[in-house]
Amino acid sequence: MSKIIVVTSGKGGVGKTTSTGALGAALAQQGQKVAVVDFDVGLRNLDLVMGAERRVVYDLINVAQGDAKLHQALIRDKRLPNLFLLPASQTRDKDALTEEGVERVINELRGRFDCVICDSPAGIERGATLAMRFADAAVVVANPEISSVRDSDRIIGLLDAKTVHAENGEGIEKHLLLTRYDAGRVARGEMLSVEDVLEILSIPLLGIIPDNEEVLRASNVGAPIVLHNAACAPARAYNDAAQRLCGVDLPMCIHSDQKSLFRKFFGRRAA
Amino acid sequence: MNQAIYRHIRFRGHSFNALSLEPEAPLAAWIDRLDAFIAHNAAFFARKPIVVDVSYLELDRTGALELVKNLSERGIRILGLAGADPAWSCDDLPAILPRARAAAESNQTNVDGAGETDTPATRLTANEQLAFQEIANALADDGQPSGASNSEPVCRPPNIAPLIVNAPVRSGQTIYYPEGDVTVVGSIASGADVVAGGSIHIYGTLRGRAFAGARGEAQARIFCRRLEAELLGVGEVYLTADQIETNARGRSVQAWLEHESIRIAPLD
Repeated sequence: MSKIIVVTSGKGGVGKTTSTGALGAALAQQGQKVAVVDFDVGLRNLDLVMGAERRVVYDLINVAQGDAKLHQALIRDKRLPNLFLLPASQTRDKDALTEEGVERVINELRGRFDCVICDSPAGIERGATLAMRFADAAVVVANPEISSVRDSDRIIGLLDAKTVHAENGEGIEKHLLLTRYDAGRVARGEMLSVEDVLEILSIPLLGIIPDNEEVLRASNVGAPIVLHNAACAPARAYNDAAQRLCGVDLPMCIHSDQKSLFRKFFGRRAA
Repeated sequence: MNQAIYRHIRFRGHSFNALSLEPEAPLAAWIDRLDAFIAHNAAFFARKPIVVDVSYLELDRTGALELVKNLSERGIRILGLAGADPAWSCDDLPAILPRARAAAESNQTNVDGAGETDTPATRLTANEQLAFQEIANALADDGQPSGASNSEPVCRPPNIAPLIVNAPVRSGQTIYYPEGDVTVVGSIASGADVVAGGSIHIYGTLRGRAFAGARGEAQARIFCRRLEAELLGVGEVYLTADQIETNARGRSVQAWLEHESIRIAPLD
């Protein structure tokens, strides 16, 4: 059965779009037919992260308003044939989205894909509430710092109140994805620890993505991190998270790069 | 510690019980029925807080002024108008009251069966329907002499059952329970509020704000597993995070009112 997943956070710049691209690509690599949908109307980014910005013709708004067919707007990934992107419009604003339009698009996507990942805009307004409205599960992205965690807490409250599943009394499956995690800074007390964040948010942990410069490099070249450099720590962490999202029981760990461990080791010896 | 320096003018949003009078069209006939009702129950409306709900009428401002004048002449003191257009607001009309969460009630019944997003005024909650029916009955059986017993169903007795919340209270959420105690099995997030008429029990960390005894009940207390609160309020006194003693932070505590100031003591 197909699953609609919303990637949301409340706060901007915590890694929603990067995570959407990475989880989408990881799930597609596992053999699922995946669509990633950009809900950030007016400030679209997912097309850049996926490297599809030169091929955008129609977008979510066109399909939602019935001006284009879904298959005309979907962009097939050049690297993974079972990964598709539904881009957002850059010229319109979020008021152009209606609940009826979004519901129609989501239902049509449900019939065609195993997994649909919706990249929510930041904030708690219309764009964000519509992105989560029809979701079966939510990936709440947070950085280990207090403002991000509080905003995520707010979003969890909205997930429990404003989604169709919640209104039907079924509740919605929620997962925490902790991004930009820097073990060194946590140890120095400059960042919240995993335990602190889990204590505040009290939802199950999907994965810990280490802070790593490869993530920025990947988005600059327009490739999801798991395709750009599958061996790097964040790519492995996203692959684990994608498997957990499918119900695979993997032990939680904080991935780190062998190289930097080496450097740390020698650095300490030299000091 | 001297609390007096933190005192301000006191004003707060409160919910009070009022009798809601709901005139129906045609208005002339309704006023006749009202007169007959008053003739049998002379003191029924006397000195009672009355809100006139005009949602069932098609009125303009002139009509509303006329209605208010008619009711005032019958000794009905009007606290406010519900279901009225906020644009009518003027010195000659009572305050226009916003509808409280009528549309948000989960147990709402769709009276007219219309599927569209209609105004809250045309939808009645089960409670509103009951109250409406009671007033309609009271107005209909004007043949029988009725005393205080007739007014009883309208003024519902206060519900003193505690409210149990079995989930964490998230940032931005408010638990508002002026009727009694609130027990939260979970934490109160930073940016969340819990307002209770009675005591507040938190089996988790209190990071947000808690107001116990919100109706002025000075006996109310706040209990929590771990205190990281942004604000503690008991009765009419409150402490902000800066005013809470640092040695109470991070501990399991109770807070109560003593000599007009809040005292905090560890539980273990």
